[in-house]
Amino acid sequence: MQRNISVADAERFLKDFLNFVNPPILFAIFGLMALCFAVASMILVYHWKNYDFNRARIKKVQTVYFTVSGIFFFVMSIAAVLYAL
Amino acid sequence: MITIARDEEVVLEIRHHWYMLVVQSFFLFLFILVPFSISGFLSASNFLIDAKIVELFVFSAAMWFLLLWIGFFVIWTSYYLDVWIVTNKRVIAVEQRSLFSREISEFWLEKIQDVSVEMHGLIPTLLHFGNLRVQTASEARHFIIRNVPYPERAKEIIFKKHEEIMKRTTPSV
Repeated sequence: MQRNISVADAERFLKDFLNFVNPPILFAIFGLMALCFAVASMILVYHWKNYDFNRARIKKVQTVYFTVSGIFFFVMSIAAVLYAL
Repeated sequence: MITIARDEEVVLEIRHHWYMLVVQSFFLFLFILVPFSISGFLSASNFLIDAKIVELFVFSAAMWFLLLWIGFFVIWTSYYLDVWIVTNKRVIAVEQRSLFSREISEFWLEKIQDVSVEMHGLIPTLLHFGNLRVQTASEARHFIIRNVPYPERAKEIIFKKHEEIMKRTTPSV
């Protein structure tokens, strides 16, 4: 038998979800993401440094890549800290 | 690793057309919309959204965008490193199939026998990109780079450099 999902059901699900995602889990996800980022960045930087002969251009690319990534990490960390408070 | 000699000058770098980068990363652009659609759905519905949900959503969205950002750079790196470097002496053909698969070959300009250009289809014609094929007298007889912007210009430059070398090396009668 089909059952329609009501707003109350959805809200209950969200509450359960919030109880599940407690601050330690969120910080663990943050740490895992930082690890993935570090590995991916090492691979990318290795390629840029070894396979491109134009150092000036690759420096600009690195600046853009790390600046934007830094902004995302900053937003993630602020949101995680606020969530933990 | 690509090493350019001190007496060598890079004349041209030939990469695939930007259209290929857009095609390859198209699904990433679509994925950008996911957090916006979720937030649109949440705000349109009658859910009671408290601060915790907003913080968790911002965290997830930032993480999502970061993953897409890394994904884009992985695609861009493969696109960027797949290049033909034309110097005043040779052409270095780098075929970057993926991040961990690449093939580098090179041919001297004086070995070139023929350079041809192919353009097939509506989009390549509108955006001016096509294939560049170089026939050489060396062991690996022909080299091809696909979907390069303005292949006729690249052909002209390669021909010009080839002629310059031939004039220098062929003794005048």
